[in-house]
Amino acid sequence: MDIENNKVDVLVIGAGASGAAFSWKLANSGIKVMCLEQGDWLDPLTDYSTSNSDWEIHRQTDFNPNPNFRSMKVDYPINDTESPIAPLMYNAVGGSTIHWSAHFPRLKPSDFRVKTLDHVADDWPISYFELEPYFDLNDKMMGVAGIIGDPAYPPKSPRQTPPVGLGKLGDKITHGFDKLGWHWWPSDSAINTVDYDGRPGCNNCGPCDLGCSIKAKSSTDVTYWPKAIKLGARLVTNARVREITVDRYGKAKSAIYYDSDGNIQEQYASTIVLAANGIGTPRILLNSTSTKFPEGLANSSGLVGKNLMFHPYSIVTGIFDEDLEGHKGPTPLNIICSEFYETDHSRDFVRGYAYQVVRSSAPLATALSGHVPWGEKHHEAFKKRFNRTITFAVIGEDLPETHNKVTIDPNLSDSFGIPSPKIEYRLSDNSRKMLGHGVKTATQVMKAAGATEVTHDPLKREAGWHLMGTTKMGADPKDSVVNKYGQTHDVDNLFVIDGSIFVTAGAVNPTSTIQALALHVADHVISKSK
Amino acid sequence: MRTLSKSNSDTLTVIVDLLIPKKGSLPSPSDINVVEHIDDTISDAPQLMRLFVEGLRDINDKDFLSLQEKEQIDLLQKYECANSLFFAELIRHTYNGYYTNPIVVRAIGMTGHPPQPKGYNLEQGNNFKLLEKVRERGQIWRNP
Repeated sequence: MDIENNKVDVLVIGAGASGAAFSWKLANSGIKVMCLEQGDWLDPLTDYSTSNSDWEIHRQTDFNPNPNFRSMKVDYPINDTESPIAPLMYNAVGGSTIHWSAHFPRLKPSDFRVKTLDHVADDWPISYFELEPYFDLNDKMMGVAGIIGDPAYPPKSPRQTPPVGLGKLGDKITHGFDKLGWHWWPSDSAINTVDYDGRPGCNNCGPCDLGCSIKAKSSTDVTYWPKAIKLGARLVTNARVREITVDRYGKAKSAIYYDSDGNIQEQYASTIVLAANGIGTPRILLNSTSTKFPEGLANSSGLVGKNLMFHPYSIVTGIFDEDLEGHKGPTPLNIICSEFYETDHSRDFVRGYAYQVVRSSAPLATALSGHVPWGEKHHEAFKKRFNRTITFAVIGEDLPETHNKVTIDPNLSDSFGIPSPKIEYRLSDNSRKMLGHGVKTATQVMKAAGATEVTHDPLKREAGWHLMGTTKMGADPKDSVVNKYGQTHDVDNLFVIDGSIFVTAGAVNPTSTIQALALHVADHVISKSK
Repeated sequence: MRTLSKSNSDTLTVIVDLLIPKKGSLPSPSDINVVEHIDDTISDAPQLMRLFVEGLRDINDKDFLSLQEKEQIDLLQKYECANSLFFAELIRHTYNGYYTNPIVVRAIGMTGHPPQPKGYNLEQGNNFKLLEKVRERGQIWRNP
C-alpha cells in the first residue's frame, strides 16, 4: 500500500450536521478533506414518501427515527434496554438532519457557564460570545427563519427568511401565552419560508420528519455538502468505520472501514476528525484499542462514553373544541417558550426547561395516539382530537452524570461484526422535578388558550434525538477528553466535532451549537495547517 | 389474498369492521380493502405473518363467525388482554390501512391528496403583533 498516495490532509468521519459544516470550511480554505459516511445519499424526489398515500406508514418503517426499529443496512443496533429514553438518529449523507424537525435555537450564554452561575456541572472552555461569529456564519449557510429581538437571547444578526407561519393553531396557543404574560417567540428554524440560496420556500406540507422532497428544509445534504463538494471535498458513502489506528508515536494514523462492497479499506490522514454523533463517536473510540490506548483511543481520562446527556421530554397535549387546521404547516410549529429556562432558586430544581409547540398529528398518527379506542367510540374519539390538538414538547436540561454512559456491548455487533454500543441512563431527580414543573406550567398555558382537556406523557421514550456529552470538552485532561478546539488531549491530530463535546446540554435543540462549534474547530485546524 | 386462507380472511373482515365501524360518510374497513392491505403487509414479513395466521386461527377455533356481534366484541376484548401482541398489531395494521386510504382522508375533512407536491396554504397568523409585549418585558437571558 502506497501510504503517501492514499493519504489526505484531513479525514472526517460522519457526514451529518457537524461533518458537513466542517468539511465545507476546510474545502473552502483549500485543504484536502475527505469524509467517510456509513449511509448514502437520499434523493429527495424519490426516497421520501410524502408524495404517496401511505406516507404516514413510513414512520413505522424506513423513516422510523429509531435505528433499532428501522434496521436498515446502514444502521447499527444499539442496546438501549437500560435507558428509559431510546437514542434516535438517521444514517445518511446529512445524518440526522434528514429526519430532524429543523428546530434551530442556539444555546444561551448561561448554558456555557453552568458551574459559575448555578454551582453544578462544569463551565465550557468557550463562551457564547466567542462562538457568535460561527453561529452567524452557520445561520447564513443553513438559512434560518425567524425574527430578531427575542429578549431570551442577546441581539442576533437578521434572520435569513421570515418566521414559520402561525396559522390558526399558532394564533390559538399564543393567546394562551399572552394571557399569562409569559415569554414566547418564533424559534429559529432551519427551514426556508421563502426562496433562499437556490432552494424554494416551504409549501407547508407538514411532516418535516419524513424528509423534505422540495429541499425547503435545511438538511446538510442540500446546504453544505453540494458547496463542499464543488470546492473539492471528497465524500465516500457506504463506508462504515471500524476503528482508528495510531502510529508508534501515538498519533492518529488511519481509519479502517468497510466499503460499499463489504471489503476492508484503510484511509490514511494527517488529521482525523470524528463527527459520528454522541453515540457513534465514543463507539469508534472505545473500539479503537491498542497497546498505547488499551481503554480506547483518547481515553486516558476514562471519560470517553461517560456523561451521556439526552434532553428528556415530557409531552403535554391540549384538545380544543374547534378545527385548528393543525395538519397545515411544518408540524414543528417552532414557537418556543423560554419563561422557565434560567435557574430560579425558588424552585426545587436547578437549571430549567423550554417548551416547543407542535401542530396536530396527521390522521394515522392521531388514530394511533393511544387515545382513540377501537369499537363504537372510535369515530367520536378520533373526531375530538384530529386537527384539534396542540402539543408542547417540554424539553428539560439534562445535567452530566458519569453513570449515564455509552459503553461497548460484548454481546451485540452490527452486520460487519463491529461491536455495538450499549446505553446506560437513568433520569435524575433534578430532571424529574424539572419536567414535573414543566407539565404543570404547560397545562396552564393550554387552559389559558382554551383547551377543554389536557393530557400528558411524563417521559417520552422515543425522544433521544439529542446525543451529547460523551467526549466532554475542557481544559483539564484529567476531567475532559477534548480541549476548546475539539482536539483530544491524548492525540493531538485527532479531533471531535459533534455533540459528544458538549459540557452541558442546555434546554434547546443542539444542532445550531454543534455546527457553530464545528466551524470554530475548523478555523483552528486551518490555522494549524498554515 | 396472498397469504390469508379464506376462513382467516373472512374472520379478519368481520374483525376489522368491528374495530372501526362504518359511520355516516366514513366507510367500513372492508369497504376499502383494508383486509387486502393487511394481507399484503404480512405477506412480506414472516414474523408478522406467523402472528396473524396463528392469532386468527385461534379466534376461528372459538367459532367466531357464528357468534352474535356482542359476543364477537366480548371475545375481541378478551384477546386484547390475553394476546396483547397480536391484538396491538391487528389494531396498528387496521388503522394503517384505514387512515391512509384517500377516501377516508377526504371523509375526515382533508383534501385527500398526500402532503406533496401540493402542500397547503398556511395563513401567517395574526399574533406576531403580540411579540411587542414580549419584547417590552426586557431581557430575560442571564449574562454570565
